[in-house]
Amino acid sequence: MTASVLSRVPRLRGQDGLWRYIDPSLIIASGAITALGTLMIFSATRNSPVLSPTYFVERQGAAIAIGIVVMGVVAAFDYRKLRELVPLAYFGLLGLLAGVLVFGQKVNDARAWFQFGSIQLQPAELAKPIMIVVLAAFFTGDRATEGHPPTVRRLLVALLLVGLPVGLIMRQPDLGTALVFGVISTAVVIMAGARPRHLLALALMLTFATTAVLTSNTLDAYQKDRLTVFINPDKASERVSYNLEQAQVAISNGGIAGQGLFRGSQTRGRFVPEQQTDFIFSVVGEELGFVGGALLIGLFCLLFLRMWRIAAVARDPFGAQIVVGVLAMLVFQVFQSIGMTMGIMPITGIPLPFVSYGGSSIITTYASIGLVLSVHMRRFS
Amino acid sequence: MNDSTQLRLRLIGVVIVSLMAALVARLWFLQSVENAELASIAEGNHLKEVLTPASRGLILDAQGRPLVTNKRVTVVSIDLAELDRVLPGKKNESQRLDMLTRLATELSGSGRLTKVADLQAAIAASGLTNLGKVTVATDVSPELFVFFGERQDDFPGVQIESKSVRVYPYGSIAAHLLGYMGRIEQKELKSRNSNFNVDDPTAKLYLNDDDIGKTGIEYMFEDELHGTPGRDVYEVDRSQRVIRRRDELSRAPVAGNNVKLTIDINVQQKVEQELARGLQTARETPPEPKKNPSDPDPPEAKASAGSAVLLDPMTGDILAMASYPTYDPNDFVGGISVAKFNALNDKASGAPVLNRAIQGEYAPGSTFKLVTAMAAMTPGPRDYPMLSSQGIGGYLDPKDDPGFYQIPADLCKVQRDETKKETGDEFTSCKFINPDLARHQGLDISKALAVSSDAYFYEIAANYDLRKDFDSETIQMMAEKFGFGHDTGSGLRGEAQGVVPTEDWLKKAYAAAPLVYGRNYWVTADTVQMAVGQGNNLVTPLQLTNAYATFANGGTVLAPNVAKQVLTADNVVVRTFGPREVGSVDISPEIRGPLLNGLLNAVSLSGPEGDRGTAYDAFHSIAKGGIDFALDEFPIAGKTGTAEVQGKADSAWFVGFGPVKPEEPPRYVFSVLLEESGFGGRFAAPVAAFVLNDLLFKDVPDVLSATQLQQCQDLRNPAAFTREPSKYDKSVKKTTTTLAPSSSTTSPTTTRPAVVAAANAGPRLTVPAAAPNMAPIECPPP
Repeated sequence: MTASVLSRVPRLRGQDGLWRYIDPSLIIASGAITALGTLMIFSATRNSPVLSPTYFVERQGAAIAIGIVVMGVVAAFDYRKLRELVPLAYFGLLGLLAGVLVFGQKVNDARAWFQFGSIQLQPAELAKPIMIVVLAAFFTGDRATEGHPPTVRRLLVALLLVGLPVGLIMRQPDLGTALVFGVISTAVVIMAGARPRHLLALALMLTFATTAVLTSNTLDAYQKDRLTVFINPDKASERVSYNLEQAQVAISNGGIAGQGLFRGSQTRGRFVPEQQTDFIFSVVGEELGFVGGALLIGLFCLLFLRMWRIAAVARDPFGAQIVVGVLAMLVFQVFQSIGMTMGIMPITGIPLPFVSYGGSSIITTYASIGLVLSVHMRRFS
Repeated sequence: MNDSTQLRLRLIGVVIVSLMAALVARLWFLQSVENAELASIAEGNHLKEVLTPASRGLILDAQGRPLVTNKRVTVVSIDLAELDRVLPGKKNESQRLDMLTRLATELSGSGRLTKVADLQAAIAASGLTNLGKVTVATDVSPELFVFFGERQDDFPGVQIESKSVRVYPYGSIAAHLLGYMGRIEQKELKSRNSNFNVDDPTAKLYLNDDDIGKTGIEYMFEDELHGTPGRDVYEVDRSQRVIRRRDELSRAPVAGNNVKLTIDINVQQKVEQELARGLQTARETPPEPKKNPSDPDPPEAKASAGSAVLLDPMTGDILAMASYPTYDPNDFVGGISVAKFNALNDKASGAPVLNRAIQGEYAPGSTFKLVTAMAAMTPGPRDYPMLSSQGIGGYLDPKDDPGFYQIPADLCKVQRDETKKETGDEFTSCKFINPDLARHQGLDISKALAVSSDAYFYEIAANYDLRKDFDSETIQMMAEKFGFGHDTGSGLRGEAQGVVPTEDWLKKAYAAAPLVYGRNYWVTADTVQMAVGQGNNLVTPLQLTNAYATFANGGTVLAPNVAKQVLTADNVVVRTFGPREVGSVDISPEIRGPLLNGLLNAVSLSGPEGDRGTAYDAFHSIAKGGIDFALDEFPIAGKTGTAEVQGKADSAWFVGFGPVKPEEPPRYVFSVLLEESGFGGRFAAPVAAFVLNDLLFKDVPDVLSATQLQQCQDLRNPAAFTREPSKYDKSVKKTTTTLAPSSSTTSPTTTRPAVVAAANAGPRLTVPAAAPNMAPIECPPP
């Protein structure tokens, strides 16, 4: 009797039953990449002359634990209710991004971090999932226009919505993260059904903006060098080409089977700057070789395939656009980060999702996976 | 989902697949096709990182004179692990001895006399050092660099390196306050580096063989003084040839910040000298004749230790802080031997490294009566009704002190009954006597302080303990308010807390050490003894000085300041320290007036023995070869104390402040403590009188640093001067006043021993002051 009464409690059937629809492969793929990434961070940092061998790994482990909890919380939250939080989240975000320019910690010439004791918070990372939800909500909010391509006016407003936070992020300056927003926006706009000619116009505008930034004085010389070194390696200053050269040397050094874990001479000698963050793929390439590198890319592909599938079966355009936004974000970051170490993309600081050392990146990546899970779990309801 | 969306999604899918394919293709290209060419670069690549230690910040006095500086020295050490590897165990004893003999010969030959036995002792004493590395000689000739560098095989384990070490130009002056440094321990290294942030270029890193502040300012301001080490990263090829410097990975060292103290080295030296002389006087004064030939001999006045503190009562700035005996911090430079370190900590030799001003806990004796008087006069929730029905007024009515205090019979009965239950009759006495049964007439609270009547305060305390109509721990609560029983907040390491004894405290103390305390219940005698600064009542000299500072400044409890400012190496002010208020005591004018009067009278009230201020003699001693202090110009309020210590001669105290003028705030508050010396008024008070007299009415002489002394010596020795002109010609002027009249012999002054008699007329020589913007200093006569 008691049991049957309990089983009729709506919460049990409604909310908790949803976990049955969760996508385990998404979680398994993320977990596998994270594990590989943590191992790589350990390899890259364990022979620091100064810090304890586990310093970076311990901090990364803590971020992963927080990230997984955040993922669970986000997944449990009905994504359709996120729409109500959009204005608050958007303006809060603008506040944070403006605040970091004033109160932020200056590291490597960029003012991108809030410092709380030994913990650093990078609001630009936080901005990624928030802007995905903001854009998706913006394009799907109105019943009347649903199913019709967005008007020019609507697209321009969307451009403004993205432009404000991106402008603030460029001020830090953090060019790489700003680029991620360009890609996220493009993907969401495509999914929102924008007309091909509008898309073409947008593409032209983006090209123009990029050219303007590169030729104007917005960027320091070294930033320009970094961005153009992959086009014209001989012209670039020695300092910039050095990063790229050493990263490529490291990856080549790996060969098919790799030098073996903890055996990479480039990694141990710490020849590649930032090898535990943006250039982490050089460690994978050197120590695990083509086999390991391809395995990592394969795991990412598995993740992307599942997300693509989830976008296709999402029950509403809002959900589908969120998933595509997250997908575009991750694809671009993976392509940019790995491509950069191999010299096919410009050098700009973008973390490799789940792999690079950095708490803010880890936590937002897991939060984004949480968003996708939330959409997927509610595909029938 | 409509068709258009599906189409768009597919389009996105295609883009993703092609991007990922591009990555894999490029990876394949790099790792199989370009492999051979690039891999060869990797083989030759090696980085070599050289860490360059940053120089440590300086410690300056209030005028900017450097009290602690740095110099680079060449250090010879023996790596024991390496020595054991090459000449293992005992079977190579003779080879080891041979090597050490050769080492000693080389060191001696280079000018630093070293015996084989010294080296053996250093190795045997290596327990204290980390990494199995023993420093055997510091500051050797740099020529040895080449010598040992070329003969590694002949001298297994012998290392020679250049190192920055501390220099103390003023020797032992202010040694306790400045503190010393020592090799960083593993757990210190760990905790210091634990919140190190790699991304922060200003983060301070500690290396394995760094020295770190262990005591005093060196410890307290470690974070400021320690610099940020720089690093030079070089790319080297296989044969260790430097290909290029990696600028983007390299960083210049950043020197640590300088700390400017509140003390002035001249004043500090004066205080230390007078403290030492005061102790010498106490040692050399014959004991009082015995009243009764059958009395046991009084304990010998060893007078081997003491402390003197001088504060600014309005700001809490420590102007001087002396502890005796003292030590030379130069002994710690380059690693101190175990034997020497133990000697400096040995109680038998007075534990010279102990900073008695903050680490010594002493019974305050009668100096504590100020607190008891404050407690008695401050109206509380349950007032003290005994002496008069008119509250405070009762303490202003004169009464006689018959030489003892007898608890009234009715109260005494309570006391007797309660204690009888516990023990026999040890604590049943209801009679408390003055030392020597001294009698006093016409005491109000003011005069009771001035002549230091014990019985007067016994009565107050006994009534607090026995009467049910007020709080029995009123005196203790007042003591806590004045800062007794806890840190003063100076921030100096190892500050003792002192003890404000209460019933709770006694119970805990007994539980921890039953044999020391004997019983775990409180009796009236405990309150009575505590009220006159005896029994378990313990204070540090700094606490006591600070308590009088609180009374002097009108009731603000300030944390004593040791530092004025923190400055960068380029003298840009980083932080400034001002007065730090940590509490307050309500002192109304009606209370302050009579108490202040009592303290003033303790110094200035004349009269027959017993009715004279207890410190009167010290400030009016010209007849005995001392000084007559100009009290009308600089009125001083103070209190003597003579604390009894079981089986030893009494501790002598004098605490006070001045000037006490309506129109001017007090400038100095001070305390003098002489262990095992005798009466406070007789031995401690003169020390304060001499210091203040010189400080106020004479010029305190400039202390010469080691460098200046050297310069003076060179000036006197023209032969040496002309031999090395380049070294000194810029910094030293020779003022050629021919036969200047000698300006000494002003006052035939005191009975103080070892008065420096200086009248040797000769040319006046001056050397530059230790700090810029100060007048040159005159060399002392040879």
